[in-house]
Amino acid sequence: MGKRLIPMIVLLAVLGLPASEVRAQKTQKGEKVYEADKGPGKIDVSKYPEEMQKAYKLFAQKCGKCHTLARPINTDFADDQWNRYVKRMMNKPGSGIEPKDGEQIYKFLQYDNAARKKKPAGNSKGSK
Amino acid sequence: MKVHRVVWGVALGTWLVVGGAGCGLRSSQSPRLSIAQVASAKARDATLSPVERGRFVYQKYGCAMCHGPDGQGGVKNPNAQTGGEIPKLTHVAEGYSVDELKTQIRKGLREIGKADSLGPAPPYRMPDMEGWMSEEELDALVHYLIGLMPKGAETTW
Repeated sequence: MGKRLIPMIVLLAVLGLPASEVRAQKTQKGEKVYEADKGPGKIDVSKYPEEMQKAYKLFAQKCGKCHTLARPINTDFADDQWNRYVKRMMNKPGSGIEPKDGEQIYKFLQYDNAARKKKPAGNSKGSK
Repeated sequence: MKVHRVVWGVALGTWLVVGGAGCGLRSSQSPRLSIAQVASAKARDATLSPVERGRFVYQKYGCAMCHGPDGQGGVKNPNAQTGGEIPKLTHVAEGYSVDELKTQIRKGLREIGKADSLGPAPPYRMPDMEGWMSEEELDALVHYLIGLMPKGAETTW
């Protein structure tokens, strides 16, 4: 009985280890990971106009407070979607995004849409 | 032997009575509306403006319990990333398109971001309304929510 019990305990410990590691990772992060979170977490703005470089810093500071910066960087939104999204974030209690900050962030995302994502300026189709 | 039969008989009788009462209770909790009641509800709905219908839906589904009367917010949700409270709804008009707002209501919000990632999960989350709320009710609710935006408060950029 004792001879069988020891391998059983070892087997259970081995099987249980990966599961506990997964749980620990989940607990440590405590939040959902989106596909966009897995992409690059910063933009090379060295060739952007100075005004946009400043706006990028604000964007990184304000948006990176609650979620990964990779999330907006790797999200494919049209200008009107960004406009609504920034306002949505701005209106969340505790976001710390003042309307003038929101405007700067939106302008940066709009510029980045055209400069990096090569998205023609304009609105999404079919949004009401 | 006879005693056994009597005991079983009493037990069965009790089960039938209690069970029957239970069924009655359940059916009285979710009563089926008569045709006259449905007709009267439709007649009442017809007299309401879209915004009033939306307000009725807002109250019917208990949205005000978390988002406050007329979407004014202020209800606490400890450790929520949104400043420890449930967001108000007075500015959804500028943050959502009609379709986005409908999707949000249908899907709800199962996970609320934590302010302190090591702290407890915020106690309140938004239930999904898919399968509960009719399309007409959803239309009316969205109409109402969009109308909550205070005049002149829109962000202009």
